[in-house]
Amino acid sequence: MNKKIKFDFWTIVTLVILIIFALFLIYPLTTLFMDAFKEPLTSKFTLANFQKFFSRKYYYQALINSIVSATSVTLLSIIIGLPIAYLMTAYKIRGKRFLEILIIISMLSPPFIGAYSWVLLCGRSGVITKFFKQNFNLNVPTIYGYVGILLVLTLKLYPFIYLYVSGALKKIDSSLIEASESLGSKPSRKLVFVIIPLILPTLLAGALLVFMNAIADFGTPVLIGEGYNVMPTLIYSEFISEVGGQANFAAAMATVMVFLTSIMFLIQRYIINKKSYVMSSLRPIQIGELEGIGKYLAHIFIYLVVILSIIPQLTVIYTSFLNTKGAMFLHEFSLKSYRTVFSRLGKSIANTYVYGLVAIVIIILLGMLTAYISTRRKSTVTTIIDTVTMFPYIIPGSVLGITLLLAFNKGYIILSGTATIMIMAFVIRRLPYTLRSSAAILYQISPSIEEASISLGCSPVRTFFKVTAKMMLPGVLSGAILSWITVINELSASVILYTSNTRTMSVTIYTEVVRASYGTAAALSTILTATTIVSLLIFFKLTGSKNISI
Amino acid sequence: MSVAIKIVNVVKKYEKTTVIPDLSLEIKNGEFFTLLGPSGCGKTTLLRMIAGFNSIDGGYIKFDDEVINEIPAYKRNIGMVFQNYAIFPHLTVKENVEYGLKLRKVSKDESDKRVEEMLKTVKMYDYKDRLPDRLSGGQQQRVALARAIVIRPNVLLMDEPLSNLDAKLRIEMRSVIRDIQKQIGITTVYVTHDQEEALAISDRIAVMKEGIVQQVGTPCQIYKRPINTFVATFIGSSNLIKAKISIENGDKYVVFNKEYRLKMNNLKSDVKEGQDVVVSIRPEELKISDKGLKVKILKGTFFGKFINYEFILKDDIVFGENRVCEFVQDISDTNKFLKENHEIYLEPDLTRINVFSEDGSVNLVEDVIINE
Repeated sequence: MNKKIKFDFWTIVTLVILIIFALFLIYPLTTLFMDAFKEPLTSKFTLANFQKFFSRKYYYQALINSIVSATSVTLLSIIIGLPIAYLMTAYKIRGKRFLEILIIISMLSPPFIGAYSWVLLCGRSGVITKFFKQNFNLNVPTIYGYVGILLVLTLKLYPFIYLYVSGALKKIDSSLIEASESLGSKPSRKLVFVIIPLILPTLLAGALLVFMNAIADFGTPVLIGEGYNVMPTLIYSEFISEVGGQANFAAAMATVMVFLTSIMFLIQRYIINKKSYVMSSLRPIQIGELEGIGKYLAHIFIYLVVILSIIPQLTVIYTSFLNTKGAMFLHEFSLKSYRTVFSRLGKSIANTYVYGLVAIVIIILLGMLTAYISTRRKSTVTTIIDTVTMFPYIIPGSVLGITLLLAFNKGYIILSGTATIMIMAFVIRRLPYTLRSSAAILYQISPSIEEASISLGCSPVRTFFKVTAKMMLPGVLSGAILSWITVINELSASVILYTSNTRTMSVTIYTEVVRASYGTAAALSTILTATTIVSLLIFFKLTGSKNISI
Repeated sequence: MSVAIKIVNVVKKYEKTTVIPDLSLEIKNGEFFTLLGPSGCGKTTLLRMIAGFNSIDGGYIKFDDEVINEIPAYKRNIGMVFQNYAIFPHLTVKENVEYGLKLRKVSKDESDKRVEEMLKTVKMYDYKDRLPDRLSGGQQQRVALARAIVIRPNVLLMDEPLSNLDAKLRIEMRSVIRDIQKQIGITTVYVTHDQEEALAISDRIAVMKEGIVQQVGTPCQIYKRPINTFVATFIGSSNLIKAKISIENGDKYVVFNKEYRLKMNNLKSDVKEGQDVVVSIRPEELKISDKGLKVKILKGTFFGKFINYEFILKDDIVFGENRVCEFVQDISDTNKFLKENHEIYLEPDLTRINVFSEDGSVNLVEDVIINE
């Protein structure tokens, strides 16, 4: 037997990908975990950082807050998302298509825009607050802290539940329900005995996704949380205050955070592997008509939720066209904010698009090649790569930011403050979307298509670009659109990595809000939201699909 | 140009399991050669070794005089037809067929001429501008066939090309493939688990089991004189009945029971007195008589051209687990329909039945061809 290793194209690709992940993911993470166990000055092994964290209420309270708020957000998202999904799938709802697009937009626009416009509306000097104060002398309950985080994140994250669950509902074959009825179950009980059990695994998977997003979010709590500290904001402030010195304590907190998210991730995987049913629907559930009061209640409920969740975008767009005086909006229209943005902050817009485009090209290339080697060229090495590509799911953005900064601000490769480190963070964080969708479509492409091409005289490498890549494209795009939108909206890692030269729109919106320059923040947010919507519309047009896969 | 294929002591291993321990075959230039066997017998593995998609872990394969072991698949100049057609979904029918010609840098005029000719041969010319998703399975397979042949390959390889089609289309496509192959005269290696298909389509068949070639021969040779009971039961169906050899005055007899024995002088000379044997009788090799094996009819199934009867022997002499045997009665012979529990005598046709050693591994009839 000849066991020689052939250095063909795919072996080289595998090695290159392995090196990329080792250098930009495994090495930084190892550095972070090691730092967490080191004494700041002597670099000796210690547990002191963790002891400090768990012994002072100020610190561990943030962990409790994180868990409490993420759990509440998850439960609320289910309470809202589940009924909307059911009503929209099983019954005729007016403007369904339009509602769906609004839901997707509210999901894909960055959460900090939500936080900041709710502050504009219901904050201390918010429009609604003032309105009630002046006209009725009423104090609107405060939007800051726990309540605000809950409001903003729920309205941002319930769409995950909605999309997951309605996806599962569409896969239920109506014969299953008929079977249950023929076996003597009342039609009214089908929901409890057939539908809920069938969608439960999907619901749980969606719920965990919401939880992970909620617990990792930085923008919302930092803008609306005020005294309500959560892990990402605490890690950020500890890290920023330690800059120049040692970041061991922040590293320890990041480690705690990654530990928590890893556990959640493992639970999620376990549920999906153990409990998911393979269903394919030949005959989807019939769309019924709601009668009487139920019809009105359903419409009111759905429209209320969707409008509430799109309000931040509308507020931002509206206020971006208002004249401003300091932090105040005046009651007159003006393009002043836009003028300011283009004259003073134009760089951040350019950065966003340039970094975004570079990142998305790398993501698509890396995603397709990695998906290919891990599905078609299975080996120990590709299994390792496959596992490593899961890491971004469990590493919150702020942790990734710190990780990269700690790893690349000293030693042989110094990247801190460069555009490279920003793009790197984007690629690592958002690769999984494209990677997963690429892998999914590859599983649907029979290997014999490639073999057919090879047998006709096309070398394997050429076959990949000539046949496989072309056939993968629709699947790749459905992931790439998510990668792209989340890249341009990325805040939690970039806020740690940016410098005045490399800042993006998201970062600038954040800094503008912090310095109470609401007009420019609104104008930038509008540009960002518009980019998101336009990208989505192009995607829908291009692929002919009506939905995005998450 | 079409080639002869020589497979010599070929070995295939997957990690620790050996799929093909040591296999040799010779496939003649221009013949339609079928690898037949149950799933997991290694037939597809062998085909993919010829194609270059599986490595050869021992021995060698030659196209004419050239060893191809180290030649990558895309340089072997093979035409391959797959079970799931493997038509490029993003290319039209014409573009699919052109694919291999473009890679070979065939001139535009030449290519157009060959594609047109080919599409007419497979009767797909009218569909040349369609995308594959608007074609039926049978049409896709015609395109796949055209695409494989148009490049004038050394050898045409077909991996269960008809198994995704429905029964009627399968029979139609079978003769399409057969006719085109004969017309072009290209060496063809065809893999199937369907024995009827193999008999209908092949010049020669290699019956495989567990990575080992059991018998190679024409369909007729294999059907008439299977080398062992595996081949006898895998190709067509056979009733296996236990018996003993008796030799009297130089005449050889197969003794079924006290009342009935058959004189069979076409048995090999090394059979011994009292030797236990297994007699293999196909359903059509039995006919109703006034002597022979006494049987009880269980049920009859009417098939139009013939009636198929299930019966049990009065003596417990059936080989293996299944006690139920079968015979067929040609409708033209008689208008009688035998009733359930009816007892009759069946007489085997002694020129056609086969006699195997007790373990079923050797055919004791003289004119068996093991490897032609």
